Amino acid sequence: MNIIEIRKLFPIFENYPDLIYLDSASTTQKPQIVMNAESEFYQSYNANIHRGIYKLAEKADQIYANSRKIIANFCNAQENEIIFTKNATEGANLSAEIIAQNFVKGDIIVSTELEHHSNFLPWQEIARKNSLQFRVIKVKNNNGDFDDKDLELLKDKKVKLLAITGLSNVLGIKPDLKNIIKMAKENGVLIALDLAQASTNYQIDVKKLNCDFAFFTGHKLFGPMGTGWVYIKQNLAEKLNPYQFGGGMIKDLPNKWLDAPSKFEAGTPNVAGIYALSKSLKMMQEIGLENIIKYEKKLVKVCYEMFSKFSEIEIYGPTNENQFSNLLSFEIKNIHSHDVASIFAEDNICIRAGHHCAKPLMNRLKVNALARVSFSIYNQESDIEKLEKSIKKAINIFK
Amino acid sequence: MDIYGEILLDHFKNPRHLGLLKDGNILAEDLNPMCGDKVTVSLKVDDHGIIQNFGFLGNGCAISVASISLFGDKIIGQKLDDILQMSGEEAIKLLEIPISPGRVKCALLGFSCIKKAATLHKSKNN
Repeated sequence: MNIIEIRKLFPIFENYPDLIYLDSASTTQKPQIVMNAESEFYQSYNANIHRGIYKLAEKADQIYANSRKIIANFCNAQENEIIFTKNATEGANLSAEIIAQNFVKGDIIVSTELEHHSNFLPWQEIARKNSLQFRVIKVKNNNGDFDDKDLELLKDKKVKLLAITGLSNVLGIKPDLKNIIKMAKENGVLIALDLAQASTNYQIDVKKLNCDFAFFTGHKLFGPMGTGWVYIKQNLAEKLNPYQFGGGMIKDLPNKWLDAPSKFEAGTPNVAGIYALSKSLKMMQEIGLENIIKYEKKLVKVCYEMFSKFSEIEIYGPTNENQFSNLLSFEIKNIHSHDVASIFAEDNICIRAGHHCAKPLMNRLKVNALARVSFSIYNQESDIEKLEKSIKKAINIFK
Repeated sequence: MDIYGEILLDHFKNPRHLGLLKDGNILAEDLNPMCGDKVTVSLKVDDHGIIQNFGFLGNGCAISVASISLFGDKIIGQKLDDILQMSGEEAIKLLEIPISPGRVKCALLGFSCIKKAATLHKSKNN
């Protein structure tokens, strides 16, 4: 991977040559091809899909269908298993709304303390509205391991669904999905996977993962904000009823729905955004996901080693290099993470600080806020050297 | 912009008005949605609606702690009604320290809690 060439793909670094962007787990920077694709759609193909019987509309239809193909291929799904949403959160809400119609009072939905609120609150809320039980698997240490006793809950016959993350946005840890999903499946439990963070950290294969629902977001994959998708396993998608109603989703009045994915995509979708997202996934494919992952992990390793030099820094997450992802959360002793972020910001270093929309985990870790750095293909080892200088500065200010 | 100047660090390291008032007559709690930091304030207000004393409890970032400490200095002797009329922007100006847009919520945590306390007091007395 040629980092200099890769940085050239992202105009933001031309506009801000001193920018040290260490917040890609929040949202990645966007390559020129993504911006070009959005603009290209509106300049050359703009027409509404599904409705037009003229060349421009047919082209728009074709672009939308091709994009779905590329996106389905990215996670090894079939095209009719991909439903476009505006983000992963919408994917979780959509899944919760449509599956809860099949649950009865007293059934249990299980989530975990490792979740981002986007795979926690929709399930908690749907359980409350439908008189279902909502249970949470506890995290037992700073490494993000689950409490073994709590996992036994998955054997309870009343448990109908497990909502679990593919990678923690705070600890960067990947849960033992293989065994947890196996245990859940043996009891007929459905799996809803939040893959918003995971999709930049390992090759996603929804079939191998054996999940029923999976949510993705485009803006963490170099795509535009306001794009995402949810994977729904075909046999489920066929059975389930839509939750939003309107244009482009009905076969006949009053309630004969089109087949999936159309029945779940009421209204005009973000065609230009989806097209641009397909371009960002193609770019990732060209660079090679394996190369991307390897490179990001290398940077995390360098950063981990740098952090380890400071007795004032406590790292939250895996200590084993094999478990590293593209992010690291940390605390500098006696300095609030918001102050850390502000001091870094003075040096043009962008990091995230706060509860990371993961309050159940923060409560378990007994912290209000953590600082987090995350890396992508445009970062360089020199970014970490500059980060080290800013850490020294922060420690010095608060000594 | 040098946020972490002498005044801010002094008020963070040695916050004034730390501890709740034993003879306070208004108590309120608030939290910063960005990080979950909590603050509790107590006020002693006389019959004419003048703030006689102020105290607070809470852990937080340097900006939130220093701001509460500075607010305490500024509001003692003020009318509760004047605090209620004050906008967030005016409150920031009162601090006389540079605050970046991303940290406004931190800087105003104490102020919003004081305002909450003032609103509670007013609704009780009406």
